[in-house]
Amino acid sequence: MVRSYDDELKFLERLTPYSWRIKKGFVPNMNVEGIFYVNHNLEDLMFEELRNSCAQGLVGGFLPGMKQIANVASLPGIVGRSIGLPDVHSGYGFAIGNVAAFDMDDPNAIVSPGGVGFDINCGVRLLRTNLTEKDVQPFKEQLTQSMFDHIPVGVGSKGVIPITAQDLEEALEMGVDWSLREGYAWAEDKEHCEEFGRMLNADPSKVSVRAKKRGLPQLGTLGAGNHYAEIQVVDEIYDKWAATKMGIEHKGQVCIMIHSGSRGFGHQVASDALLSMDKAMKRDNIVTNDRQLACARISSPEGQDYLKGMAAAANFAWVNRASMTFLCRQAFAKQFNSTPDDLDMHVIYDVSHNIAKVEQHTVGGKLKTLLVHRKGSTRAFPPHHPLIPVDYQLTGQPVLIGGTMGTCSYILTGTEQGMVESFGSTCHGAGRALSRAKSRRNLDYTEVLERLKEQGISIRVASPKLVMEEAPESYKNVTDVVDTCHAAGISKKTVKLRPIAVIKG
Amino acid sequence: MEQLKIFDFVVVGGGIAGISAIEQICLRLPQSSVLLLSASAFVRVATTRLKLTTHIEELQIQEEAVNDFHRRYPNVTVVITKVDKIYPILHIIKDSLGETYGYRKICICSGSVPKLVDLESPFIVGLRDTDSAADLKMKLAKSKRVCVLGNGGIATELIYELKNIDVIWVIRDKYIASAFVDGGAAEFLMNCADDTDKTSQHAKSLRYTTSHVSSDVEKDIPGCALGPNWHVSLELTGALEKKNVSIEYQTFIKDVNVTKPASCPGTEEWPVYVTLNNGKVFGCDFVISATGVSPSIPDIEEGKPFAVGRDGGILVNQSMESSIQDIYAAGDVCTVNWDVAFHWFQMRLWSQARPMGSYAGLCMAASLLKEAPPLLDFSFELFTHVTRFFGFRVVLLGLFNGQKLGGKYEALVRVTKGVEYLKLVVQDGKLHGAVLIGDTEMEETFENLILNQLDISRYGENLLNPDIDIDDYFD
Amino acid sequence: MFKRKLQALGFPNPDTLNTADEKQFRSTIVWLEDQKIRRYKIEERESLRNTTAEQWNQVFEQYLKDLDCPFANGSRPEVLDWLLGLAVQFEFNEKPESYTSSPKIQQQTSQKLNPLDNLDFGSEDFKIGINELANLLQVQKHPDHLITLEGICNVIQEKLSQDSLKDALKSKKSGNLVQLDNMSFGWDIKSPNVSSAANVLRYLFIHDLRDLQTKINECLVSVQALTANPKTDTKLGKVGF
Repeated sequence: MVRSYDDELKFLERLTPYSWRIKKGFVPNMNVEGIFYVNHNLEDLMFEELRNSCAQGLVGGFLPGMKQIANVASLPGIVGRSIGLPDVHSGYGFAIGNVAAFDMDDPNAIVSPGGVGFDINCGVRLLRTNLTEKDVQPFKEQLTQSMFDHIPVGVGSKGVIPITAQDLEEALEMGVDWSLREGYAWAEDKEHCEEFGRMLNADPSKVSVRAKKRGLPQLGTLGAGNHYAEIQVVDEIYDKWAATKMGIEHKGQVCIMIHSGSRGFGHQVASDALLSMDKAMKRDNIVTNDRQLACARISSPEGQDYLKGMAAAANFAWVNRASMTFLCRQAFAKQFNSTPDDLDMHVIYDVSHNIAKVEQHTVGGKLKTLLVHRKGSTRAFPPHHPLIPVDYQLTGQPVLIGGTMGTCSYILTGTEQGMVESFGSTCHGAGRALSRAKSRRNLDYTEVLERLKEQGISIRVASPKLVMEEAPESYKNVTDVVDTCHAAGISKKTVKLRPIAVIKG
Repeated sequence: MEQLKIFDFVVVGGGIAGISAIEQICLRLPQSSVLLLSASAFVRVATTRLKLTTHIEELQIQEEAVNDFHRRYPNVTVVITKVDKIYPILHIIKDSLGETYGYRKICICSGSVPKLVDLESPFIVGLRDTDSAADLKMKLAKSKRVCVLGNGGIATELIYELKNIDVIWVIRDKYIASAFVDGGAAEFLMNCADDTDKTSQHAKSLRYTTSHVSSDVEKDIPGCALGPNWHVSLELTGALEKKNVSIEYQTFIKDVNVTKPASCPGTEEWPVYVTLNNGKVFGCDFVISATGVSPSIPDIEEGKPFAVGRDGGILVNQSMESSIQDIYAAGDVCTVNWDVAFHWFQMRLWSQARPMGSYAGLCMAASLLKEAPPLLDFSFELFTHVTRFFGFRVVLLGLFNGQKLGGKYEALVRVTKGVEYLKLVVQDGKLHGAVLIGDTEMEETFENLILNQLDISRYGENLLNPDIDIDDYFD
Repeated sequence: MFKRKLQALGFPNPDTLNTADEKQFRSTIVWLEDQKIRRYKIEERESLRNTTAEQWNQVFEQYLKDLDCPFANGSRPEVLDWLLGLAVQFEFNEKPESYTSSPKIQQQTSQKLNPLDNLDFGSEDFKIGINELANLLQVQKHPDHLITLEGICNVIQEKLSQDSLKDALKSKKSGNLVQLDNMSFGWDIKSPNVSSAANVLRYLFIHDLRDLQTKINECLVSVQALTANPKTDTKLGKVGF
């Protein structure tokens, strides 16, 4: 079904200055409506994406964010709305930055690996220190090198911390409790993790041998792409009282941000589940708008196995971040000839970006038990929620937003409004919109292609990368994203952090 | 008669595979007795220079004097010697000095010897081990023109490293570095061969400790094989003002002569003259042979010899054990003989010597403890190799040249001249291999796509669209 | 809540007594005076015994005054507890030997440099002093004056020591109270009094929760002492420099 851009617009309606409604009918079979949060800049990007897809068909197989949000609204058992956060962008199946909740009491409700993502429990952890920028500046190079030396080699069968197949098995079951037991984590670290760093329903026996083999050498390693560790300094404090509660006292205070997930292990768990769910969908007659939205009923064996495997992958990610915390503390302690304790290197908080959790929310005035999928989205519970740590009972849950490497990062706090509107969720970082595919083939490299053709295989060529290209027009800036969430009221800006050194895996 | 000393483990060869095996043994069984028979007074320790992803890593090789090595692993006895014979029934090994040692488990990591051209001439220098590389440096200082034979990784690196000299590069294939890259990538690299010098930047990030060249070893014992970045500490500089490379494709050397053949043009006098089978004749100072290698296997006394593969390597099963009980093999000397994963194949590379050695060490330890062999390491699930050609990082993943695909595949390509070259090998809508040249930062994404075997057909060439944040898409 | 003391005094039905019931409260007081305290002569007790009289409360107030009760203006449970304590004390003093099964504690052992050690803790003077102090600080008296002294010490340490006074001043200075009004406590209560009371309770609850969490952490740390053995293999990777 191809509609003109103008026809598509009939299904979209502005709700508030910061949100739009996607009405039923935008894609077939929508069970609920969609909503997305934008500010002026982000709005333009979202609509241009849609316009492009109308003009050119799909942009090379990539669905625009709005369509992906709407396709999720068509999944069985979805309640409330399918929610797109300001950093929403195209992803496998579900858009990244999409929140969707499914009713646990509805026998047809589904769980979908695409709604969690491949890098299960990819997340951000923030450590504070009592150092100031001045203390660190003279040793910046050594410190970076020292962290680089510690972390990328990391834990794993060949890493700094030897771990066996049996250790892995236990780590998958215990999450941060494993790190605690082995002495890699502090008791206080656990307190400041979502879910206390352990999904209790994890079952390592539901994880394939291949996933375990793939995970074994990966513990404590950072990962490539958007995974990184950063030494940051506090750049601005918006809410002094909430910041104090987090141990952030003044501008210039040094923090360490660790951004990582379950990596190859999570990828394998997700791929295995996608494969088994493909079959379950045929058996249970589940139809979706997009083949990539493979899913299974929550109560089905496939659904249950996935949730248990996903929980194991989530635990893996926590052990991963805990191990890196341990290594960071060592690096700092060595550099400053002190102990991590004296440097006050406490975990402020640890958030998950890619995860599905069973939570209670009020939908239509009724308290319901839901399976909330958050992909590229952060839980942001309000003050007094029983599931957040006692230290943040009055401020609301800290939400850690990592910018793309080298840009600013933020700490937000959860709000009551977010609890009502977005299942207690907010954004997770920056994003990139699909921009109009510009034709920029150049003939500079014809000889290269000639040589390839000699091999007698068919060749498809992508446009070259423009050197020094930074396409700002298609970039969802983290500040825009965070400001939109603040203005829309689904989270509150608390602290801004600025990087002074990046360690990349 | 002196009591025969029996070791729990004996490792033959102090190269990357041998040392990796010892490291794992010592990690697992720190109290066990280990004997290392090394041909050189320096062993080669592999450390990770840069981890690109967890499975893809660039290695750094450091040489370490055996005394220092012994200090790190006090349970390891190191003897500098050459192996003569193994007596598998008695579980005894004899060295060339006539000493004998008993073993419970032995691992052959004796590597390979360079396959030199069939021509006998003092003007042909073999380039495979560190000794010959040092030798080469001295010879080059006085030379104006050399002829380089071979098209493997070392030959390709050598061409890039040679400075201030005329080079004639003789290769059998249609394009350079054919073992590693396709014609397109070769063309991309050649365009950059004489371009800006990227070495300085490259060497800065390296923290290479002193690279000794052993001189106290018997001359007939081959030294350690060259590791990655073997050339970094060597200044391979000739006697001219600048460098000039000319390549002779699809040919090989027919003859080497000290007297000037009549067909040789020009009046210049050269120490040696090379005749190619395409009829061309060149004069040069000497010939560098950096062709292939063949496994170097010790003799077996009593009983059956090793079962060997077609390439002459010791056949090993999934536990790295040879056809003879309690004898294991790893690295260049072995040939894998199990049903390998679809996206993996054997190549005699440092990047494979390390996991093979580590895994063999674990298997031997498990066998001594009468435990089940450990799970095959994940590095055998996906072929990965990281190297540098012409100053570019080159990452090879899976079936990067369409190996095993019978020519029925599609290549997705993105080229940015002088910056990057990406090629994806796609068959039936799934990614099977990739060549990534330059700092593409796409390694983990494509590693995951090969391992996950997701259907990527709907994206077509947009998978490489630089405007799409593809690693985020599959997050 | 008075069960143990009532039992000790041999009160007929301590389990069913409901002191919130005015009638039962009054008859309990009468029982205590008749059986245990005996402040008044039998004939003087008439007005107290007349529990249905309108002026009973005044009589009771006078009775407390006559007993030197420090809680004369206190709540009913406070008063009752004090009276019960007094009764227990009289009961004990009647035949103390029957309650002391263990040998006499607090033997004075030797002459110490500390002048306090030379005090005679058993002297009447000392007992009277403690009673006065207890009245002053509103501490419940125990038949054994030494236990009363312990209670007095606790009160002084927790509430009146220099440190705790300093802390009390500090917490006032930090200005949390001001913030309390601006904070969202997650409810919307119309009455400002009820609201601030609820907020204080919420705050105290969080305080308790923090104590609990701290205890949990302490437990974890003590278990860690047994299990933790972080292994780092420096041979395989660089740790530091």
